[in-house]
Amino acid sequence: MNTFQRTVSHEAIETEWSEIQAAQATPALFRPLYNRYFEPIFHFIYKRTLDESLTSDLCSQVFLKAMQRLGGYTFRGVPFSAWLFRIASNEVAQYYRHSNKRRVVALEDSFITGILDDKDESDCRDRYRDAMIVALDDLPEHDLQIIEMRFFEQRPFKEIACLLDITESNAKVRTYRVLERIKKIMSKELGENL
Amino acid sequence: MKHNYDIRLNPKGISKSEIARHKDFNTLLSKYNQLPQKQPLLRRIVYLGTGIAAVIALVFFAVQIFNPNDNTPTSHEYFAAQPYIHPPLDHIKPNFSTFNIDASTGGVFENLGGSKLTVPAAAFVSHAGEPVHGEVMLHYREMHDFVDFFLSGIPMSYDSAGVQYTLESAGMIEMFAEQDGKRINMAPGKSIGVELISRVNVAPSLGVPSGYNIYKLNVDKRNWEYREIDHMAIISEGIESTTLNETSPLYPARKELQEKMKAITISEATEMAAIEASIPKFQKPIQPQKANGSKHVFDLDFSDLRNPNDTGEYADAQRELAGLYLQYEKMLWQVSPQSNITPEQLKKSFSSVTGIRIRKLNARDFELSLSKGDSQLVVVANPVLSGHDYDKALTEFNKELAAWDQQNAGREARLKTQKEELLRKIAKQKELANLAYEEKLQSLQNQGLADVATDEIIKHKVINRFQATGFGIWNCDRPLPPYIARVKATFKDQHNNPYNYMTGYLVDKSRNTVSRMMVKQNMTFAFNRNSDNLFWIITKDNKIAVFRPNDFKGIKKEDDAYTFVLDKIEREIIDEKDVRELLSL
Repeated sequence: MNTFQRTVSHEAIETEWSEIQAAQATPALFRPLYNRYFEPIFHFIYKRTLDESLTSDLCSQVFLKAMQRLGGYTFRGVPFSAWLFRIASNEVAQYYRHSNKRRVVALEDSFITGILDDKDESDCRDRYRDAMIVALDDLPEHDLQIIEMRFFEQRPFKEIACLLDITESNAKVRTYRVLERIKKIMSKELGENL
Repeated sequence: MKHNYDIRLNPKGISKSEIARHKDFNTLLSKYNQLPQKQPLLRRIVYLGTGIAAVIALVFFAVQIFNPNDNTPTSHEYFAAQPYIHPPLDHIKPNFSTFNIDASTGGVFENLGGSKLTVPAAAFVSHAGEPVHGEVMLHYREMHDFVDFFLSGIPMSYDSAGVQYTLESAGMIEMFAEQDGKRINMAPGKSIGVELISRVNVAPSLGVPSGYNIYKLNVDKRNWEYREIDHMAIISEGIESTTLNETSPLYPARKELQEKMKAITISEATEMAAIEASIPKFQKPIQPQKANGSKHVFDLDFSDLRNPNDTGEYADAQRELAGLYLQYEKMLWQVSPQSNITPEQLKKSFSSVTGIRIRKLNARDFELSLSKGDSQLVVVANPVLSGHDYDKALTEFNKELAAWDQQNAGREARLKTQKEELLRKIAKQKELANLAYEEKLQSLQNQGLADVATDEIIKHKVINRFQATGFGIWNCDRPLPPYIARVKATFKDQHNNPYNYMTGYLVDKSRNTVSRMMVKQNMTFAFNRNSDNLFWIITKDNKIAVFRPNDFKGIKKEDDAYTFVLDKIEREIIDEKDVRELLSL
């Protein structure tokens, strides 16, 4: 699991805000922000496309849009990274809307145990995995996003809230509800209560 | 299952290095710059023209004025965000000279300006460190003045232990080598000897200017690295051969100096000739020439040459030849290559000739005029010897040569004192002439025309010698102290468009460099009040906006703040010539 460089401390956010203002005045000064967030954004998109070339194009598009919109960016206590991830998320969604391709979901075995609270018996893994795939496939996009962020990318609720522009408690509640829904579908698939 | 998603199990991840391959901010910035730009938020607000917008704008400006440094990039941040070498006009490409070098032997290469590169044998290795053989192309360019430095985008600032200096250059070079289109390196332990001809600012009375060192640009560390002392020497050109600018206020003084120097030079030549003539020079003996079997050689009896009625050079030649004929058993004549005559023609001419006259052309050759009636044939020939005669002549010559050497040394010894006395006198006269000129310069400076005086004392031709131990950019320069005159500056063009967060360039005529700065409103602007200054900005549409030397004169000493109104020139900049025209100093 890649650990992203996140700007979360108050001091770091303040410092970053001065960098953003410099970049608002002079686009060339966007470079430090680009250097800081290129890899996390690339990872974010790659996890949703699993296509290096496509990811590169989308990533470039994300930063280009960020530079174009930077003049309108105002500091409201939310990390700049959240703003960038929102642009990236929209860019990915837009790509799938226009291309009529199915959205890629990268599922690793380790995620399954994370979702199912220690149900990692190896003899049941294949069954759980198949049921999990059915359950994920049934989720609407916004619910799938929460699962990806919380369990696949191991983001804290606070960050998920920032990314989705919701409150932290709302993020927790929504995550809980989506998990319940997954478990319900999986239980139905497995013929047992999870 | 609905198959809403393309769910992939345990997919292959992507590494940092794979991601890094796609990271390219310069391309992104270039794309961004090509996009049609939205009006900045502030300008859009102003365009709305509503009362509320005006109030917001006023508040915004008030904040900017009272907190000018808040939330804005520092100059360091501004330049740190740019490529270290950042040519301001991308489309004006540098011109490199290319030398083809045999890597095994090296060689000495001279460019049109007289600079010289000495490349040792086996000086190149490939990127893998393998010795390079065969032909190598060495690409070389020189940068000499502020326009060169400006267009190159090479920063002239130097960070020494955290203190920023501007480097004044006595010439800068860039060189790299290629083989088959691939860059190659200099071999470890090898170096290219550089003799860079350039010009530096120096007063006429001063010797080699001090403080110049050799620096190499380290692009990775974004700084210049000191390498060695610049072994600089002034190349004397002499004011006698200089073309003076008649429009210069210093013209009378320069003209007087020039005439004095010319008179001194003529006097030196005349007096030196008189000293030489005071003791006649001894005639250097001429080495005898051996008859060459492959050339036309003929026999001529002295009685055929003798004519008692001849006078002048003809009589002199006869006397000299009479001695030779007496001294040697067999005097021969060898036809000079410049006489276009065959042996048959010569034989035929001599068989029917009615008269011969002979005169000496030079130390070796004689001219023989053969006449028959009204017709005449001219043959150039010189006396030659063979066999015993030649050996005898050679022995005699060696004796005479030894004696001549001795006589000549004695003559030179007798003249030495007089010559030295003359040279001392001439040096004193030149010194006095220069001092008189310096006094006139000083007088001008006292009259407040220091800038004019400065103008006149710049640019002496020098040679910078150093060893380049690698390819890249090398600079012969010295750190300069910062300017003293300072003013709070704001910048705009003649149409009231403000210039903010852009790169400004400043030169002053007394320093061979260009200073680069981030332009912003209410910034501290330093310049040289005692010189001609030129300041300019490259606008976003690649035009030049300039603040000229005469404009600088409008900044009064008592001014704490000043608005620089730059003249934006709506002319397309095609090449270096355009830049030089627009940035004339």
